[in-house]
Amino acid sequence: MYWRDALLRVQALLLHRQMDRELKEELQFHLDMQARKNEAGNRDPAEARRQARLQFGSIERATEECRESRGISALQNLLQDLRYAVRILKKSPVFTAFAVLTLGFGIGLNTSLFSVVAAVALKPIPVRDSGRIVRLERWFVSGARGDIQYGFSHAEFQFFSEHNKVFSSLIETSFPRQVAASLPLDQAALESKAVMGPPEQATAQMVSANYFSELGVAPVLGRVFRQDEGQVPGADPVVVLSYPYWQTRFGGDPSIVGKIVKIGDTAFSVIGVAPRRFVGTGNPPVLVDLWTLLTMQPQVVPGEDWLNQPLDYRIQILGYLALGVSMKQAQADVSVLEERFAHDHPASDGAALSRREAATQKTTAVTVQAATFFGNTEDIRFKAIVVLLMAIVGLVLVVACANLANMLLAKASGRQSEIAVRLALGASRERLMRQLLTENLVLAVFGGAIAILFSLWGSRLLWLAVEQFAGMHSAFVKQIKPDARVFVYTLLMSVGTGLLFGLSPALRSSRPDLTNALKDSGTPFGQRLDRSKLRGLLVGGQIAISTLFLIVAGLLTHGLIRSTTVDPGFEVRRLFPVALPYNNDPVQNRSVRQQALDHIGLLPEVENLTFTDFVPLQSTWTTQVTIQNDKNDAAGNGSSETLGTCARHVSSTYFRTLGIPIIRGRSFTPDESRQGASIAIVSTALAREAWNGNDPVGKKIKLQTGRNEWSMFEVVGVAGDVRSANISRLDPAFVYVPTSSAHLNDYFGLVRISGDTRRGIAAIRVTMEQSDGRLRPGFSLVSLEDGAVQSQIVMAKTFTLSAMFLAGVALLLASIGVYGVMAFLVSQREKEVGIHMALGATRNDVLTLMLRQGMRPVVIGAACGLICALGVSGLLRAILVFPGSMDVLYGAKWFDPVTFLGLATLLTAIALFACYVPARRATYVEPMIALRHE
Amino acid sequence: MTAEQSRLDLLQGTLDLLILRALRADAMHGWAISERIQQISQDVLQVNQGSLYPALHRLEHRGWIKAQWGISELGRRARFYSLTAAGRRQLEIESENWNKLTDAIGRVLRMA
Repeated sequence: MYWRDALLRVQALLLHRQMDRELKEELQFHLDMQARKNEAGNRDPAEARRQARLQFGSIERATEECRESRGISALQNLLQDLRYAVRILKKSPVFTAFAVLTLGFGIGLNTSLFSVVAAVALKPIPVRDSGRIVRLERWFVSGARGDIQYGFSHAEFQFFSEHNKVFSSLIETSFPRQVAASLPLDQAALESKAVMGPPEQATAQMVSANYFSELGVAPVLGRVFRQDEGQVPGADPVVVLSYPYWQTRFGGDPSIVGKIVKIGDTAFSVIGVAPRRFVGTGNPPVLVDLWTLLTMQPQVVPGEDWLNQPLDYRIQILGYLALGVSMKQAQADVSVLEERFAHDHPASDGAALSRREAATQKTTAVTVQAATFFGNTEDIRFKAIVVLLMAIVGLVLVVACANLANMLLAKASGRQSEIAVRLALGASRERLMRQLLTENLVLAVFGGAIAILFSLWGSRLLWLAVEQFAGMHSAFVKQIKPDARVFVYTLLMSVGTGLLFGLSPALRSSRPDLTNALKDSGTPFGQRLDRSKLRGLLVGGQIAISTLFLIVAGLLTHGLIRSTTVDPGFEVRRLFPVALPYNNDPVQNRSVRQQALDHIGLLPEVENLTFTDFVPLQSTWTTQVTIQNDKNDAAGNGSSETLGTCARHVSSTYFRTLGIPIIRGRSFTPDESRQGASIAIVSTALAREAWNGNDPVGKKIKLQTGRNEWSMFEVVGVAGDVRSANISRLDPAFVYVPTSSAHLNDYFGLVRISGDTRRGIAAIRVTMEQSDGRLRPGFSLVSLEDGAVQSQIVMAKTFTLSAMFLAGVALLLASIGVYGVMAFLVSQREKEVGIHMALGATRNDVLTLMLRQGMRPVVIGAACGLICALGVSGLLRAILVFPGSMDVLYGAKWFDPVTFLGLATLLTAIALFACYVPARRATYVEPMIALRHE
Repeated sequence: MTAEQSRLDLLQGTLDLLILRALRADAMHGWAISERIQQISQDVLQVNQGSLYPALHRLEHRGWIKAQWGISELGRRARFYSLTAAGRRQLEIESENWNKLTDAIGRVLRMA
């Protein structure tokens, strides 16, 4: 029966006009027959017809009911509503355009952000069966967080593979690593005759043999690793290239398979190319240039032994959950396995463990998380940042929606008479409301369409912006497509907004006092009161948010301008951090490193050489220092105060190399920096803070050097203040302590090159190669200026530009909103204006009256925004308590009256202008015309 | 001229039943159905003409009657309704139900 029903409905839909005609004919026939019968009773024909009509009852109702029985009335009504809505919207094109763009923009912005966040943090990596792939993460007793949580040893991987009951397969992969790769110069040459070019930098990843096959990645050329490969260390010198690498460095050579690539000293043969869509397994989200087998590690990273060190945490482990296994079960199983492993391999086994990876780095648990591009997405800080970002962008949407709401309210009020007439003609309230809502829904849907277009585009832009300071590969941009989830989100937001803001006007509109509405033609004076409060609130809110954004953007811009002229206080242009060679055997390691340092120091191009554990501007050690106060209390005991400070182990040549002056006392002697003597040099700022300008030389301080470990040092000198933690401000406090040759493993070299930097770098590379033939660390000698300083500045730039963009958007929307509201107010009160002027008010009087009314919410909103901005600025200032934190304002005052008041005034002026234009127009209307205006 | 009669409000279901019954013998157009019912019930039942046509269309949609355009006594065309097989079955069912109902009510009313 159902299909018959459906068929009838479809028929009714398609032939409805014909059916209406027939219905009319049928009813007319009935009336004629009745009239004829009445005539038989000797009535005149006209009277008979009238009687027939009366006897029938309401023909309209009968027709309506017949139509309804066709079962498609709901659909027909909807279509009718839609047609009507489109007509109405076409009638006021400016309003429609504004509304649609406003919505589209606000929602599009949100959606772009959501797309990026989803792709990066929520979506699992795009591989086979992505719902089941997980990453292992370990948790340390020391609470250390970050990338090290994803490091496991090859031995652990083998142990887990063998003994687990919850994974269908496990994959291991190293972290992406810089290697020196030499490519064949002559592309067309056969392998045996290939002449290799100079080594250049490439990013490589070492993986297990089942990497590609398990992930379901089929090569676009050649093949991937086979199961039989990766069994014997060093036996399979094969690489798979990534698609972009193949395109850019090999020119997409179709005969690439079989060609040789030298990594370090070893010749690897290319066996295949990964497909374009494969972007790796993330964490970090870098698309490497080539993959090779983990068993080739001794060749790729000479001098280290990852395969046989059970406590050397070098590789990431991913796995596919077996069918029917939940994440919790997997977690439990792996934790147990880890305990067994730790039991079998106690910490003392680790000869390669440096001082910092002491026994306290025991693993407390191993958890399992869905594998996404970024690691640590569960981290509360990451989530907090995301929420913050979305809140900020959400505020822009709020402004947009407020705009829309105001416009809708305005429009609805203007249609009182139309609605009253329709109600009087017999439309049901329900029907009317449905029609009004449909109008808003159409707006919302159009807005949603624009939003999608915007987000298609916006997410790419956003990703490119993020790339700037996060330094990732652009391969991921192509992966960010608005997926179905985003589409649904957008749609829900548009529909929700339409309904929400359409509902209130619709409800209000469909309940007017009919007679009043018809008489007054749409301007019931008394009724406006509560609606104008809502309108005022919306406008005030918009202005407040815009003010906030504007001021924050202004502050950040200030900071940015200051950042361009910032001087770190020490040499950065010719200073290069050098990673020293590394050997698993600690004794050999030390001697090799010492050797390297000695050789480099002898080079003529090297002006100075020093070593330290934290490279300036790249990383910071923040800890606590306790100062013994001079004043003794009555009992003769000194009191102490503890401050937060930055600190660093430095060698004797540090200050000379960096160009930091020693203001008081002396620097360390070479002996002291070999033995790690218990002396210290403090910065001027710390000296001032702690000893009030008294000479600190000879005083004792206690520095926290471990989790619960404090060591005593004697101050021997005071150094000048520099910006070595980050570029934005002078280090608030700094303690320098000497290095010790026992801990040479922890240090980086810093060389200051004189003359031609390129020659200097080449010379250093040659020296490093020669110091021990096998040892060759990855070479990336980038000066501090080009590296660390630039990246911080770029980050500042990105933040500021984004803030300016958002502020601009908010300002634009708010201005439109204010203009729209004022225009509406003015049009509603034309009669009132006419009366005022007819009674003798001057143009200026009327203007002042309207401006005063319009600007009241603006002024209040601006004031609120100002206060909020003060709060934000104060917050930025509060962060500076941490010695290592960044000052985004680069030293600009946190309450800068020029910025704050200036921008607030600017906004108010713009709003004033937006009010003025329509108000002025109103005053030019002839009073008589205004009075007669219907 | 119609005499003042007491009009009984007909429930929708009953109207359907009456229509079906009226159409059992031959096909008729809407006005004729209305007249027939009035005639046979001796003016007791006067169909509210406004609800007749919606009822007819509903029944048609349910598949119990079917409609066809034919030539009427006026010479114009009119829509003639006739029972379908399903309609005939429905009529029997409904008549039986109605009889049961009226019997029951009658018994209750007659009880001492």
